Amino acid sequence: MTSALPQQTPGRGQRASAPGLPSAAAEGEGAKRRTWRAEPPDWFAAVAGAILVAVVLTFLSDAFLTTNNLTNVLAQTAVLTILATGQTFVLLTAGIDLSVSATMALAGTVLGMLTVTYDWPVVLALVVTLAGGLIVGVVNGLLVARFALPAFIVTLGGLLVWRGLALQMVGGINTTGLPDFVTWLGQEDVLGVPVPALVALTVVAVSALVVSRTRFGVGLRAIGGSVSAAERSGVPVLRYKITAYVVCSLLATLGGIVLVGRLDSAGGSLGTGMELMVISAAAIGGVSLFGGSGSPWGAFFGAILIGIIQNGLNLLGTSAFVQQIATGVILVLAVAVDQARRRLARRWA
Amino acid sequence: MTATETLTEAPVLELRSVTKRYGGITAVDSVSLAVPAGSIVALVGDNGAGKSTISKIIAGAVHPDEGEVLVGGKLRASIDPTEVRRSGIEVVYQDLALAPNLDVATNLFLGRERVRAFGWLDRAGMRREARDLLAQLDVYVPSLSTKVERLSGGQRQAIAIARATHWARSLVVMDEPTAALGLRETRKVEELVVALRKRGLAVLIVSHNLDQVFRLSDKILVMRRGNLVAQFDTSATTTEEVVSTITGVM
Repeated sequence: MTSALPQQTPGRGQRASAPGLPSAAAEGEGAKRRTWRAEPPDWFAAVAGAILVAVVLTFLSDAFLTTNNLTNVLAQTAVLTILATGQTFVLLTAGIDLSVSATMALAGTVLGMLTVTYDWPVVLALVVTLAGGLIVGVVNGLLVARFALPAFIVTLGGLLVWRGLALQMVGGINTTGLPDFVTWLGQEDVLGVPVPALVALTVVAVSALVVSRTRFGVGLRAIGGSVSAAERSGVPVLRYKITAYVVCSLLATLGGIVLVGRLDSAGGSLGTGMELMVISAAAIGGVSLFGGSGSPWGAFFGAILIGIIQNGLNLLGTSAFVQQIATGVILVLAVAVDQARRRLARRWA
Repeated sequence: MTATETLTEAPVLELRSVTKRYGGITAVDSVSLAVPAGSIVALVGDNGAGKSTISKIIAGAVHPDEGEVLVGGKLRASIDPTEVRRSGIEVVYQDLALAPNLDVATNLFLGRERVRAFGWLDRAGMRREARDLLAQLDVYVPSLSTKVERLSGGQRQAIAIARATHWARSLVVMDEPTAALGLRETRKVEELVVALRKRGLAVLIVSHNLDQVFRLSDKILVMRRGNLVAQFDTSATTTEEVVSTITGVM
């Protein structure tokens, strides 16, 4: 603060001339002052794509635009949304977490074992499961941030380790008959809205506020934009990076809890290969893979777009292989649209 | 301006016999210097003379092997960049240390955001303060929400200096502030430097540009091969004298 120093009268408007100072405002801007146009949000392409696909599907299938089907889409994309939101925290720092689906499988497996095999009380089992997610996040974060190992390698290793551990723990056999609370999380409705969708929306809304309205969120984006600038500006880079991986792993754990609730089945093979879908959802939603930009709402809309496409192709009776092709095409298309949008925005500015 | 009345007599920054070696090379050899309150001091010298090591030592990025650093007359103990900032010294780095993907207001408060209850950012308050700051310094940007990557080089420099101005309580160190700028933008930055002195802040400016040094500074310190070889009052010296001291050709 400059409070110890003589203060000049603050000007009101931002272009007001300060007393006693030469008036050389608008250097390099000259006379061509233009009104500032707000940039479209990062998730613009995903929302536009989702609406477009929804309109097309409405014409192609009578079953698409029904409350029942749309709540279904929300419930089906809930786990993807939760994981993609967690991934957003890591992507913002210009990192990546390939181990999310393995972490999710490990969490589901641990929860299944503790509650079904060992008959633990559900609350205690949930606490231990979340603690496991915390440990995974701390390990990832420490290796990446403290020991400066490449995030890609660390979490690729993690993908193998955590899934291997989950498979080893239960010998590759799935557990079923999970406690009521867990299946409630995955399967029930509250006022007509599926509980998993409510969980996912809460996660997204809270995460979006954290990213845009807290020092932690600003710090994450600063780290992704320029880690050296963040460091020299006093952003606690190490702590924030580790926290990002912890948030990501904890949300992967939450996703695992919801998923085993949905399926009423827990085991090491849960969500195999889903990490690529998670990263795709975030990227489709305008979360930059190079760090520094994106929002949990982007992850949400990206997941919704993927969900609508899968749902639509299901309704149309297309094979799962075609769904995979479609998702891949959409991923590349969304990123291309996003790049074009940024270039256009730059030209207008 | 009566900027000096709130300031003490002790120099805002003093180095005493500071030495820094890199392996076998002595980058800074027993340098003693003082920056008086409210003055603009220029540090000049050829490449490799030790100027940037001095500025890094002041910034807290490099620890001297020997010697003492005094801030406001008090010995500075353990140092790191955060501590240095807390002591009222701001550094405008040559690369500016701005986050290109964040907007102007966010950059001005980066690492020092103001928060309200529950840790929510006080965005309105910060924007108001940012707007007043830029108005006072007569810095024009399209909007506080403009990302720094969209600004011109001069505007970025102005934002970095505005940030330093806002947070500094005694001294702003500038490393080659106009090296990458055009003529008009350079003039704008020079106006900002003068504005800092009007606010009662001292400025230590590392520069290659002797014309600029003569336009701005009160004192000129000349370094050669790690030594501080001369100190001039700007009004009592000539470009020729300074150049010959820099090159060592008398």
